[in-house]
Amino acid sequence: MATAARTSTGGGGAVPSAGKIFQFKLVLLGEAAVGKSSLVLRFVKGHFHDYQESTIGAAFLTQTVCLDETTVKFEIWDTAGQERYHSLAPMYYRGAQAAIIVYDITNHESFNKAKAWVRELQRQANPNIVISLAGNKADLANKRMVEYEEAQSYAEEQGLLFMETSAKTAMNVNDIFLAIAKKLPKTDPAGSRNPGQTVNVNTAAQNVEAKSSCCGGSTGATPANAAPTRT
Amino acid sequence: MNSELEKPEVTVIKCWDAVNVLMPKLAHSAAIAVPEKVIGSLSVVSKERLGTSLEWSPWKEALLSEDGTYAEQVNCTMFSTKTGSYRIPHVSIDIEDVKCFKVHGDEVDGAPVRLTFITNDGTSHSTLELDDMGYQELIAFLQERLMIERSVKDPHLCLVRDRRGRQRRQDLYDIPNQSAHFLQRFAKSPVTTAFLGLSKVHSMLMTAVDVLAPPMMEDGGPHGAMDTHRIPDFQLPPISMNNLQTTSNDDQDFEVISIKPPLELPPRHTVHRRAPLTATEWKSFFDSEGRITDEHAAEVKDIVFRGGVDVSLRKEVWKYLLGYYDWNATMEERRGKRELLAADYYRMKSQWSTISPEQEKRFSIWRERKDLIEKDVHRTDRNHPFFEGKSAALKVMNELLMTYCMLNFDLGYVQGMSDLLTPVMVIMEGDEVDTFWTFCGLMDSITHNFDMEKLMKELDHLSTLMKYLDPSLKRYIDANDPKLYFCFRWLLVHFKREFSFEDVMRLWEVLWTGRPCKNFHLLVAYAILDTEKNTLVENKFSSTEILRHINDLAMTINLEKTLELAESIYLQLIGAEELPSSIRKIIGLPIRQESSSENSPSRSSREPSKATESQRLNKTAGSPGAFEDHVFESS
Repeated sequence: MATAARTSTGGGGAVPSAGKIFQFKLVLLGEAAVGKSSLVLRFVKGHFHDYQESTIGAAFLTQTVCLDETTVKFEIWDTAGQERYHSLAPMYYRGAQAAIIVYDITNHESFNKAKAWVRELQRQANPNIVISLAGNKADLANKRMVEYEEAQSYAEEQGLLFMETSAKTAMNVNDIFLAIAKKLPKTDPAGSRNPGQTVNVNTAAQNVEAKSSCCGGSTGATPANAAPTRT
Repeated sequence: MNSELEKPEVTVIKCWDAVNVLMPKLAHSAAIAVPEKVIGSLSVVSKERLGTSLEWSPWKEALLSEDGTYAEQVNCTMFSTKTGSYRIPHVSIDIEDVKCFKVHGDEVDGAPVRLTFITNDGTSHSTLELDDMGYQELIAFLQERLMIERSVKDPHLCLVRDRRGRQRRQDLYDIPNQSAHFLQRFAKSPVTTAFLGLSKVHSMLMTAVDVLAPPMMEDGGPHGAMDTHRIPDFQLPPISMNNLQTTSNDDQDFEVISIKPPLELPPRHTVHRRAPLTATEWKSFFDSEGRITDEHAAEVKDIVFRGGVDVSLRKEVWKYLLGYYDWNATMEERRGKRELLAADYYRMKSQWSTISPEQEKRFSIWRERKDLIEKDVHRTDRNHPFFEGKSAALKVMNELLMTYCMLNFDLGYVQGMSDLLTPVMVIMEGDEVDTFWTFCGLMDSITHNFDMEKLMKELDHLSTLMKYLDPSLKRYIDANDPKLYFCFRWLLVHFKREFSFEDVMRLWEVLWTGRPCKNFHLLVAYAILDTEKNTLVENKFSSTEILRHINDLAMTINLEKTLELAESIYLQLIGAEELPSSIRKIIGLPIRQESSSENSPSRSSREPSKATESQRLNKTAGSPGAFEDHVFESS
């Protein structure tokens, strides 16, 4: 497939236009080994490893999705899941406009932990944060311990976006990010980016992507296959 | 979701043969060897509505093989054989998104050139290798579109300056005409040309920027990037006049400004590493009863510090380095100790292996640990041959981690431990007792890392070292990520994720010697930062980009060079006239009595120490027995 979309440069384009780019900070939270990194890697790089190693500290990736009128660039923070590292989490969700709380549908305990994360974000994160709930490992439906309806009604109750996903089969992976991109407010440019770096909302750039809705999804958008080598 | 995207119209503007330099970590299994390079085409393509980008993909013909097949995937080509598969990453970089590129090695006329592009979010892309002609054309092409500036500090780093949309374009279109000659020379011999031009301002700026550079150097007016008469417009803070000496220069229209550095560090000396400890050397250290005297033990540690251990000896030597065997125990005593420790291991193992399902139901802490261990065991180093497939090794690994929980129930299992265990397991060839007790020795030296407060303190120590060794880097980092969270992974698992399995084993055995000082791993960390300083600072990386860049360094760091640099930095520290007590404390040097007043104004009144630390030790670091015997412990 052609790499039809591209990473936004955050303000480098030269052609003036009406298209808008919004940059949002998104954080992934959830119990260890529920598939946070796998979801991000599927979304950003389009691949999946059976034995994705545990995340130590945090990883940072970017990916751009194009909506009809706008382009949304996600700055994604992927975190370590174990309780021992919980104290680092606020640093990553501070200032985030979106969060994906991930649980594993084959592990009920991870669903309970997801609820705890939701409560923590509702208490301590940015009050306008868009929280979504991802029931990952949906390909393992025969080992299911968390019913779809149970999670669905919890999400409705709490006003969360909800999808069951599978990083392995790619089911709903782009969709959940796209749904978040749609739900994020695009009227308040000031709130869409921490100041100090690249332009957050740039009406004078990147029109081409936004206008032509070039990337209905995100697959192939970021050429982020980082493979530097020894000098 | 629409994943069947319309392909935009693509026009190839230019195309060169280019090799993608692959890394072993691209393999999905250990059974398959990743070739060092794959040949393909690097094209400049103009995509309808999307702008211009650099695209690399492999030649299909090069992938045709009798025993393998390839499949195109998003952003990569998968090459698979019966034994396994590896990923050949494609490169696709929007030209507008290029932040800088690094040219590897020395540029020799006519020789192929390797370069790595880094984009705005801090991503390092695959390293590409072009022939000389292709490289020159590529540079010339980029020069037409981007304002590229050689870093004055690192000739291998080429920075894209100025991102101001139309403004930049206009500038760019003017440049080739005005400076065509210069650009021609730049393309031909970039290092020489850039340096001839910049050497005039270089010495002055090096001092000024080093001492006074503000943490974030903002773009000012238009850069005379390739213009030899203009100085890159770093905004320097006001310079206190008593620090300055200006001298006029006879034949030039500039003044040389030198600024007194805030501290006196001796120059860095080059140190050389040696070959690993050999079997003959090792045998020569034992007496007739199998003891190693203290003196010999010190000699072994010196050798290991400087060269590591031959692979064939690791199984034995590691037991000493990790405290499983006492150096001065006889063979008989070692045998006795092993018997005791074996019994102890199996006792602890039976403690958890006899927990019944009924007990487990009401033992949630235990259950949690057990589940997490199981999950991590299945995803730790699975592309290493030792752990590939559903081998018995996974079962042993599981049991070892569970038993460790019984030994240290307060700590239990923390993510990262499985990473620490695998190299020991491989070396001990899966022997449970040997692996367990050597692993415990390793954990003893590092267990404090799993206490977040203590790990933060380690990061703090690194920051203190940086403040002393390179205040300008410290200021830059402080403005972005003052807590140094981007080094978290390095310290937590002692660089396990940053180096290949083989390199990690070498690094660890060096660290286990406790030489040349306490907390040498922090000097290793600092050495990597020192190497990356120009990339971080000159690209003006923000905290996220720093983290991205540091994470992307994994598997690209040259271990031997890093160890040499770390040791030279150590020698610099001990050669310093007056080493602050904060630094002395970190590297485990005795603290003089006035230590508490180091930051107070009375500092200068302190009796100056005439003898430097290295003189005091009265031995060179290169000679055996030079180091005090430091136990590896932190703070």
